[in-house]
Amino acid sequence: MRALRVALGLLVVALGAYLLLVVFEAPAPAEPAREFTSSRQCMECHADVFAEWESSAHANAWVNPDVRALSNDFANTDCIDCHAPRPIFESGIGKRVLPRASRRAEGVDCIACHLLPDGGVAGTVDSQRAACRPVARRELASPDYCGVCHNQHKTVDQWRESRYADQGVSCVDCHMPLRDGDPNNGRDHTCRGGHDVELVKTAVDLRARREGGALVVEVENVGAGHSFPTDERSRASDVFWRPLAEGGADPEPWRHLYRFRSPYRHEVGLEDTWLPAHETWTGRVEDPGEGPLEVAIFYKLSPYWTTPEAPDPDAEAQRLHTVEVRP
Amino acid sequence: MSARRGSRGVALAASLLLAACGDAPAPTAGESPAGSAAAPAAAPAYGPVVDRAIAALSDAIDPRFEPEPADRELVNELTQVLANAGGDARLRELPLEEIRGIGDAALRELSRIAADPGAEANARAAAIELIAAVGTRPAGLALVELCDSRRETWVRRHAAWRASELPVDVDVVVPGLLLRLRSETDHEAAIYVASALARHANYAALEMLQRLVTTGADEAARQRAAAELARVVEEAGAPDAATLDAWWRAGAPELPSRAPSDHLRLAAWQWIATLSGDTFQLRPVDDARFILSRLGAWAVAPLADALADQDPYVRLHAAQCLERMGRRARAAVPALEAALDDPRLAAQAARALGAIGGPGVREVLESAIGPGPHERRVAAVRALELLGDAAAAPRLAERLADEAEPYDLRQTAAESLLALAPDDAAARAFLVASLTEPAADVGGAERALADWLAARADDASLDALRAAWRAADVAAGAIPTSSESTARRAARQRAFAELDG
Repeated sequence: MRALRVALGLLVVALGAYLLLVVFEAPAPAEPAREFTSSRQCMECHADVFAEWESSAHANAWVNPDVRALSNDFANTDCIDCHAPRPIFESGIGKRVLPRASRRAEGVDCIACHLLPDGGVAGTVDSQRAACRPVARRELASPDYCGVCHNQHKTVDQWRESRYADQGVSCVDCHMPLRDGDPNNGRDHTCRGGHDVELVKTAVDLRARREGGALVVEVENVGAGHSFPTDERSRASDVFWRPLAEGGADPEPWRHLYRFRSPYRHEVGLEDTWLPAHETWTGRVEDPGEGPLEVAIFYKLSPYWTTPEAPDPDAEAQRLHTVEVRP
Repeated sequence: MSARRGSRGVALAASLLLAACGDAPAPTAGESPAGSAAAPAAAPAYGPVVDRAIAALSDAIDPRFEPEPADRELVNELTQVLANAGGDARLRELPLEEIRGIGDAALRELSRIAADPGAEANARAAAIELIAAVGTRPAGLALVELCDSRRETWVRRHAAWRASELPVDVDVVVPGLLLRLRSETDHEAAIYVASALARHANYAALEMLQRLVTTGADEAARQRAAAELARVVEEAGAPDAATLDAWWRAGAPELPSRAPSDHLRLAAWQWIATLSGDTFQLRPVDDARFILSRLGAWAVAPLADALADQDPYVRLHAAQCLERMGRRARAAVPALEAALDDPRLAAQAARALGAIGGPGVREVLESAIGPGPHERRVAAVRALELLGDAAAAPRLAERLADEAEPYDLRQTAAESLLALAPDDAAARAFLVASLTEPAADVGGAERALADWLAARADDASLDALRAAWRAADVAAGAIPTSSESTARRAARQRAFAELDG
């Protein structure tokens, strides 16, 4: 009889334990993460975001003809670190990224930004329902996150020195804005930047006037949250002027006035002429002639001209702004 | 409630019951619960390898106190005497003898004079000569500093020339001289840098010297390069430049044997420390890799030791240095093979093994292609191409044929296979298809096919293809747009299609 009572008691304890477990059971642990071998795996669920990314400079970081030419087809292995990086969360935020050996054609891809060291996925919300079971990581939107690559050339440091940093306007606000301004829609993954000439146009304002006999030209960094141009030594912006062609006359060749650029280290003797945020550069042409003048600012992703002694910016660069100066 | 969830609840209840009855021991802390995956392999024993090496060498080196600077007037006077001595050997010897007696105490003022653009040129040249006459380790470092790109060309030439006359035990100049190789644009200065390096049994600049014999800026530079090359080869005891170059690349025992000083070893470790993740900017890291990978075979041991440092950046970049050393780094093969188990180092270790080669390396790399991290597998496939052993072709063909493999692994296998077995039709077809495949590394496929075509320059049956390929080329110096690149690859794909009928 005693044995029966013990057995019944144990059964009650067991049933109680079972009921407690059913009521308070923790969420099912995540399935072991599958190994991500391509960002195309993300496309299965995130087709829209993938399409945005696919059109971005990040997606083209390995295949872009400019970078292939300027890196000597990546024989300059330094470039690989940021153009095909291992996951940022693996190397650590604030640290340099490290190069990867696989899926380099995908450039700066979903995996590079979102894969966690444990095989999980970083996102903006926690979700156990989504196939990749994302974990919310606020660092994804922090300037330090972008800085793992984009501070190699001090872009994030330039931003820190700008008023935008004080105002809380950070990288993602301009380069990954909320879709339709709605936080529920997520951020735009086209990551518009230096490859988008329309965005670059908003960075600077070009002004020109006559002062006595001289032409005075001003370029103001009105929109970039960092120096203009920034990030890459290859990027250059040039100010040209020439007499204005009127009445169907052929325009004269452009005359170079100034270049905004940070030189490569082997370019001994060249100074860093990036235009910091909020600052204005002023240049003068002492004797431009009597007639109407045309001043333009151009932008290019490679610093070299086919014929450096007579550059043709209309053919080899993109025009940002033009102003006419009339007597 | 799902069935799975319910059954797990019952199982837990049962296990609780059994535990309450004392029939099953509860798992202890750190023990794996039954049914879980096997415990992970023990983490490699990483430690502060670099810090320890630097501390040990720093302790081993006698502390050297910077002497009180010598009387400036006296140093200036000696400089003027030498500057005005002309060809008078006795008059020249006077200040040189005097400055040797003063030693390092004179260096600060001499360096100031030598670097002062406002000083008379003959006084600056005399100051450089006097620094060389001091002939100590700090004097050597002062000369290297004067070789910097900020200095005028003639100053760099003078300083490099005098550096080539330093005593052989002042080998601490080697890293600084190596760094000059990457940015020296003046051929004459570069020739003297090469000569100074050879004095310390470092032949990293031999290839450049050979090149300058034919491509020097002018006839004088070409003749000087030829003369220096002949002298370097003779002093090394090599029959000719090609043999010396081969010895250097292989770290051959025939090379002049010169053990590095503790100061040079310390300098090497300090450059290894620069590889750390604490260095954010890549420029100093790249300088460190440039220097370390051009040091003699003696540097392989510290680099191999660094593969066990606790800083993953140090480990990875040390492996990159070993890769760039190539065959000279053969002593590092065991350490690199062990590094294949380090998930953050495996891919780079595989590449390094491919570049270095040696007995058994192919088998190790073939094994690394097998199940394991994707990064390591792709890197091992590429490494087999670097290794250049055609015996690996069957394994590569297997990976290429397996449609379940990720695309990038198959493409890498195709590229490696085409390099090792140029007649492999499947590899070529895959790469031709990759020229327009969205998931492919189109640039990589194009380069591999270009290499294949270039290697068959004598094959007349490919003339039409070659012509079509060249017709799609962009003008020299021009950078095509993305759409132009896409069109070019499509045209080349069509040209291959015509070849294959």
